[in-house]
Amino acid sequence: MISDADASLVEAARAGDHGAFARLVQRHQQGVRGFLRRSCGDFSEADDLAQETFLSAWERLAQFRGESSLRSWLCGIAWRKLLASRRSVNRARARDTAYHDLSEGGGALEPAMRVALAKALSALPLDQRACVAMCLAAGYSHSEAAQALEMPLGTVKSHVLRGRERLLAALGDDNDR
Amino acid sequence: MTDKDAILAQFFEHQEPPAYDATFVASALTRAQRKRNASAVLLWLGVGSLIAMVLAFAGPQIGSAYTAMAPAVAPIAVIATVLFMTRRLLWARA
Repeated sequence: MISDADASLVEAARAGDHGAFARLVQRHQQGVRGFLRRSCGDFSEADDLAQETFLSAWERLAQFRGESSLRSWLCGIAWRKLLASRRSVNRARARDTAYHDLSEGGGALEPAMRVALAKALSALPLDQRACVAMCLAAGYSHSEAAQALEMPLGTVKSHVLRGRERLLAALGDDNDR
Repeated sequence: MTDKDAILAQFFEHQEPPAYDATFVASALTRAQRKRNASAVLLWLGVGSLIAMVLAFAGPQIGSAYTAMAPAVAPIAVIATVLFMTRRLLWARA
């Protein structure tokens, strides 16, 4: 369900209040960009898609009925934008360079580990990656992810399970699962 | 949570964009504003074309109707029409 803070901002943004829309973008940019960065791998493409997501959200705010959280509604739009971009021929070059960004800025993680995880993540099918990005990385529930990504609940659960197994397997054989 | 899950969580954490990013917000707003302006221009072009079409077909009749009004009523009718057509735009800007 939508939070009270989001509900009042959505209401104001629907009436044309740019400040309210700015606050909505500020509140949710991290979640949407994070989801896209993990799902598509190319940070600049992800940020571009996030901009398009907020643009679509701005145009479609009237259609948002508040049945889900605003964050998962935005991730649903972002997911459809990502799928559309994957179908586009113009984005083919961007796909070729995808995942370069994932190995950057890993903080305290060992570079080899970071690269291994980035490679494993890039090797996951797009659907699986999106489920992993939503449930494992961003902490959405399986049902929230199923609703946002328009996938059956069982599919989401199996994607998350298999995706996690493959990512953990990339960390080496000393399996402590 | 295992050690590997902790590593995975750390990996995901470092892909997270900053919680506050003024540049991103400003860029999103600019794009939204530009899109809105483009839509407004298209809307006005459409409305303008429609009005031109109506005037082309029914201009003389409309002119006669305004002429038939009392001198004080015609400007009021024109202003009311314009305000009615721009009410959404005025409301959004308020």
